[in-house]
Amino acid sequence: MQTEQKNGSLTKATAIALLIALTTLVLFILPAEYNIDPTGVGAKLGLTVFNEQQSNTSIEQASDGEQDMVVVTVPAGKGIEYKLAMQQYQKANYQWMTDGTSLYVDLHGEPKGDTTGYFESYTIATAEEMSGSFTAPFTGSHGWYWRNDSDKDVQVQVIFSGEYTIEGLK
Amino acid sequence: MKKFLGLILALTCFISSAVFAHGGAHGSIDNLKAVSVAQNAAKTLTFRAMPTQVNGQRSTIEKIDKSWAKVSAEHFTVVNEFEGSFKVKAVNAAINETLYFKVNSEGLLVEVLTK
Repeated sequence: MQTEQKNGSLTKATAIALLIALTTLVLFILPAEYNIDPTGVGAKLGLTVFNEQQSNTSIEQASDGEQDMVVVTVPAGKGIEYKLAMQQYQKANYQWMTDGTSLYVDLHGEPKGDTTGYFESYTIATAEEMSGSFTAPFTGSHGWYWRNDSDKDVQVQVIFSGEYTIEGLK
Repeated sequence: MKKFLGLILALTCFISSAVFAHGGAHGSIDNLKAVSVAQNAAKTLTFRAMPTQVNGQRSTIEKIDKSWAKVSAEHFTVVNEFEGSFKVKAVNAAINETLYFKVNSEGLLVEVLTK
């Protein structure tokens, strides 16, 4: 009798726990992580904004065989990275420009295989255009971090050539 | 003594002329550079219009078709050179369009024409 009551309570508790987990999954986790919002509650709570911001980071790429060109969008209030994989002492030439708005930029490199988060900045500035070249001091991932402090999305065109493999947006 | 001073003066003038000559060398470009400027400008113009100055008047070079970003250097050729300025012809077979990029002696794009 007591065992039956215990089993009954346990089953009830398990069912309640499962119901809570399912509710949490549908109302909060699916909208925030996967942009799946069947009930509309996620949008009302502002949870789908994370996926909307990711989709604003658009990219167009082109190449003429000698130079590569890419146009990326830096969402308002956000930052993005565009990187090239380069061996030590390889060189890249570049120029980039925005559609008129200044951006904070950090041209930097991260050593290959590094897990400490170390990076070395080559140029830090706030500008709407820049051109130059750099030689990779170590093998790794090298490129630009742009941060858009304005309230509108900003497009950036980058034209580059040299010795690298394109990693792209990170 | 006078000959010595004369020699010093001559040497000073000779060295000075080398400095002035170096100052004049900046701003001169060659065919290769003109083509490079034109090709780069074509890419830039697929992204945004460019301000420029023609005969002292400010103007804007309008954006061009995005397909120009993929036109390689071999499709850009210098067709005219006058007083250090270059006229570079570029052919975009993808859209059957020909443009002429005028690049000045300092390597700056001045104008883009259709003929």
